[in-house]
Amino acid sequence: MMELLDFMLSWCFSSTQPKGYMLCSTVFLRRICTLLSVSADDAIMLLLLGNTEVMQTGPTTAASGSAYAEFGKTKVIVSVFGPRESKKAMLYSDTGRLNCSVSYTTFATGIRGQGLENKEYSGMLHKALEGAVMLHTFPKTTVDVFALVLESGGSDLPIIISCASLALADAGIMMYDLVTSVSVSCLGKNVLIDPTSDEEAWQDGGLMVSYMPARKEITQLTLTGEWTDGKITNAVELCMDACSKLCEILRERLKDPASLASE
Amino acid sequence: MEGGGGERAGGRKANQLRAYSCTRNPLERAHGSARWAQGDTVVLAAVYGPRPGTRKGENPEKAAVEVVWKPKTGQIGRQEKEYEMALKRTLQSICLLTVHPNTTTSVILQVMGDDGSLLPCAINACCAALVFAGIPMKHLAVAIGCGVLADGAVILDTSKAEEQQLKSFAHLVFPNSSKSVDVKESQQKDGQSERGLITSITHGVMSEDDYFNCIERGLAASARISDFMRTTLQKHTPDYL
Amino acid sequence: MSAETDATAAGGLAGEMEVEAYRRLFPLAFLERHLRESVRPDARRLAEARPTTVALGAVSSAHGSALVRLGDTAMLASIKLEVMSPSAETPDQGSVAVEFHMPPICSPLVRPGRPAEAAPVISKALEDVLMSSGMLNLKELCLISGKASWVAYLDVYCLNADGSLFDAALISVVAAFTHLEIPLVSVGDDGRVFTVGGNEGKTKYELVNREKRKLTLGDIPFPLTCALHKDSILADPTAEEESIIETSVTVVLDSSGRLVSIQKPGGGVTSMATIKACIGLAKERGQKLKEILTDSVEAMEVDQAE
Repeated sequence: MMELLDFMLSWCFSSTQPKGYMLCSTVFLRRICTLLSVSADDAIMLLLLGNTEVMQTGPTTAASGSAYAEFGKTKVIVSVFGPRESKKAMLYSDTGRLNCSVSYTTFATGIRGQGLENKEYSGMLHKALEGAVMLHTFPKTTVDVFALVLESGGSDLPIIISCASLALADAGIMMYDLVTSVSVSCLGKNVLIDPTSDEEAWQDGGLMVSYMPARKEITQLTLTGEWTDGKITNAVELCMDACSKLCEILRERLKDPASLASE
Repeated sequence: MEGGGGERAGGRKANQLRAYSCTRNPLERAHGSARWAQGDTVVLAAVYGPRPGTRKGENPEKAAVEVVWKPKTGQIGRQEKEYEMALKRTLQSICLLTVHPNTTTSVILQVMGDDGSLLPCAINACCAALVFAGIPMKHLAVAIGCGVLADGAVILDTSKAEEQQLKSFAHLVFPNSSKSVDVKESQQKDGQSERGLITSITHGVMSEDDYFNCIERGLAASARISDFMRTTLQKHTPDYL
Repeated sequence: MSAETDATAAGGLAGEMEVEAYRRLFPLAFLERHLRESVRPDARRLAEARPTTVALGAVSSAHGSALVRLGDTAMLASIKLEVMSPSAETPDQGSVAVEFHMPPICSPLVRPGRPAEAAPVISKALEDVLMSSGMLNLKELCLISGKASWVAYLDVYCLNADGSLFDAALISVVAAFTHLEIPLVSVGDDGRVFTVGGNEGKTKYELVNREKRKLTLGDIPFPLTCALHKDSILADPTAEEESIIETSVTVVLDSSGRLVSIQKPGGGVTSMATIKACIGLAKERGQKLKEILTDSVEAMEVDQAE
């Protein structure tokens, strides 16, 4: 087990150069972000945000708003529709409804059709976002948030959440703040940020934080597996810090989507 | 129903159609129904409606047509979905949709026997059932299955055994030959204007010439089917009309 | 309100309305005003198709993939190969399983849990065209006759639906097959066939298919959908045009100019001259698509060389 860990750690370090995979260079606009540098505790080893990350708005023109995110190998498209008429069967409601759905392509994972059973992600995406969306601004109607994971390369849910909040902002849905989400994996003594699928498969424990940086509020926190007291606090702080930095990137995208086109 | 060309199974000529038959209103409860048989291909079409309201997504300013395809056995798959779509679009094209806006007419089609040219048979059956149900229509639709053999010869109203050997086939739907009340006018029209195409579904590789050959032959045969349809429908018109 | 009264009422209002409002309230009149000037709402000429781009190798986990953009319509096709034992009737052939998906992200009309009506029809049409066109030689997907062959899982995802979905889907399928690279396989001691990852030098077993890594494609099918409105033929309609115009003809021609399919589901009665005109347009379009496809292959090779 230790040998494996050593191997993985050396692999992690060797991959600190940006080598992310672009979905399609000629089609999707892209921008490689500078590595976020978060001061690392000795005990905490970071690999930040898959090293390469692409986020942009507007791949789906049929939707009210949409966003595309690419973190290393993970590629996600989120479309937002609405606010539009609620289903006829729904009762009258003073506040709006948020309807979330996450699906995977059949080729998202190594084995065909494996990723399709991630049903709980729809509910978790809903829970992460509902605290941030001003539901009272669109009574009677529904906002639909649909995510499609084109390729799954680890940390899928946090990327979906961040991408969805970007798409909501693109659609002009009122929110208290952008929600950004980051996960970490605990591997023995080390804490890895933005883990890949392999790292997630071997992790002892996982932590995901969805955070509204401007309000300093956590909308969702999930903790799985084995953690020790001190490490949790450190890990949560690390996530919040990374969320704030990610949020700055999202804001930049929203303010100046045109700058992407010129690159 | 005779024609020229080479000999086929059962002693049919290339242009020869199988024996057609149409029964009026075999179903009691439907607003209109028809049993249509082309040789051993038999389908039963039932029409319910127009009923008030349209489904979500349909244009409420027009009448909607809904088609349900029931195969002889088993569940419906992609093939049946394709048939449903072709049927629906064809029926929408021949019905006067503006007469009963915001209504839905349901057409349910039960396959009773499949011996080739299933879709054309179903379209003819639905067309007859719509007439029996009194749904307002622009004109009738006449459907014919044309097969292209390896040597480019065209055979009409293909049977299942023949379909196995075909290079390609085309299911074509034409409007019926216009026969106005004014005999003179209708003769002029028939002579001058070319009749168009409502639906075309093809399968398999063929040359452009093969395709237009199919259309030409199909068009000629459609006149015979349309005569058959007209006499059947007239024969069944009740006395009080 | 009938279409005619619609148009006259709209004509009177045209001068005093905002363009976007006019477009939504009187879509037919809006379109007809454009057609009278022989131009379309997106400034295209009637017979002009939208700009088309093909990007090969968009999905890293697939053996062959392509992303196609036809105007705003986006299609992602991916092929994954898996080893299986061939059926008894065709021991020396592989097989292809075609699936066309319309996830809810692609259009406001699709909701989760309720699959789009068009999806199975397009799946069927893609499968028919692929199988009948002779582009693929299924024997090439055979590894060991009677024992092992490839099954190609072909999944096409519509990422953005803006009309002419079948055209974009078929182009992406063709492009994905040109990009397809067959992985190396060898036979283990137990007689099982397995794929060899990446480095072919390291395996101790003999490779079955060292030479045949690319499929030889036969006649390639190229599609063109035309919407027919009165006397106008609108090539490659957008979703907006498709929603207004009821009649459309989809012509698929292969690279030697033969007809692979002509689909015209219902709509208005169309003369033979119009059908011939559509076939003519499809021929021109086929030439263009062929160039686009060749360019995309070259672009990918340049990318790889870098």
